[in-house]
Amino acid sequence: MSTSIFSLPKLFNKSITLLLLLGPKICFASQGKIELLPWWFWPLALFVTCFLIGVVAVPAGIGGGTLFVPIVGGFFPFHLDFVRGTGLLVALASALSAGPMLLRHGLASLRLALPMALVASVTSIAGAIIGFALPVSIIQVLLGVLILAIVGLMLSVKNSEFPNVSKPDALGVMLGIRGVFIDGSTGKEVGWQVHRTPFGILLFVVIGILAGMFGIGAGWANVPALNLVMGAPLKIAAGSSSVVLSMVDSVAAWVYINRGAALPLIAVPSVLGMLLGAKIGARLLHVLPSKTLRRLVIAVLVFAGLRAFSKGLGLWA
Amino acid sequence: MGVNVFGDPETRRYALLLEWGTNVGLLLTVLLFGSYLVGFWELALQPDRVIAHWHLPLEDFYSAVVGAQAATAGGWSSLGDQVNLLGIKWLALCTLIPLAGVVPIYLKLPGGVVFAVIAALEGGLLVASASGLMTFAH
Repeated sequence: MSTSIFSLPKLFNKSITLLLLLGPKICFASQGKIELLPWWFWPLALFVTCFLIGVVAVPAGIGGGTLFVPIVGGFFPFHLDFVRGTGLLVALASALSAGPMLLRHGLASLRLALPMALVASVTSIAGAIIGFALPVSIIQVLLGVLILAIVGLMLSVKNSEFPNVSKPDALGVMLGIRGVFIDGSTGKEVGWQVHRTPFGILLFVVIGILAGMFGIGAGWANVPALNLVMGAPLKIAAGSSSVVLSMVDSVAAWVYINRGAALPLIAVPSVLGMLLGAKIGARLLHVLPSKTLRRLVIAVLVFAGLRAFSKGLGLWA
Repeated sequence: MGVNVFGDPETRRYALLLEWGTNVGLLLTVLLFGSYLVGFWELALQPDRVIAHWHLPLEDFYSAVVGAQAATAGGWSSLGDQVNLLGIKWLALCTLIPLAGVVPIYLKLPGGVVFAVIAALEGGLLVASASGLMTFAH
């Protein structure tokens, strides 16, 4: 058992290296040589890429969907419509998989998640429809800007483990959004409540639009909104974000499925690869330094964001 | 109300139903994709034609691969194409089960009506989206 755990950092380093090398290789392979490759190459390449994304994403504290759309959109030969639809399915499967455990352990709150999910679900449909209405070059440019903004957010925002909420707001009190969870690191019960609930709901209006438009999942935005704005403890914010994602991405994903943007050949290997990689990634969570992970993920995101931006402008075909 | 979150019956029921739904969806996805890979189904979306055209926008893709004006045009897909998406569709719909499951519990709780309504609205929105109402309303 211990041997396998100590070998995981090596696996992680190899994953990162492969992830950085695989993109350009696949990009090269996809330019004009598609017909020379057997059809099964692509699901296999997707499975491996998503497995690596899953391994990297979990310990770095970022949703797989956030990495999936820019990387697969940038370096695989699929139209962005298919990538965005699959991105939502990947984020959805990850959230569905994690949700039950988080709820059982008190690390996610239904009372916190349900109102935010309802608001974001409505606007995610609008986002998906807007995404289909805009030219793909504009979506690519906006995606690049969004990815680089996420990098900015990751570099600048310091989430708070236990925000101080001295006075809960009236709406939060009326909805009964509060609870108790056992902090795993101390074994103590921690009570929590929220403030600025109306502002939090407004933020989820925007988060839903972005999630639907780019198929990118929205954990990167959910967690700061729940933690820094509403004052939920970081663990509750992260867990509840997963429950919110499972509802919002379900609603938005159907817009893509009904338009035919979910192809089994792309969606299934992506979902399965990501889920398997996330399981390995969850084990790496306890063995790897988070700073190193974040730096590596930020490097991948900057590269993928610049790629999406320049692809949209026609500078990097 | 709502203090002992992880002891709440609605949370336990939601988690149980979500876990059950997700596991069934993943099993379906694996089994049906396996049957897709071994060529069990007769497909309108042939893999070699799909990979040759998946760089195209949706309308052009379906026009090139199956001769339909859009995926929504209907009439072009075979049983195999429908079955291959069942696992994915199940996963995209499976939050409906826990949402429906917590409504009766919330209705019995003092002050829980608001959450019963929110859960019912979220479920209704999911059904409306899955039915295609939201896709074609614009």
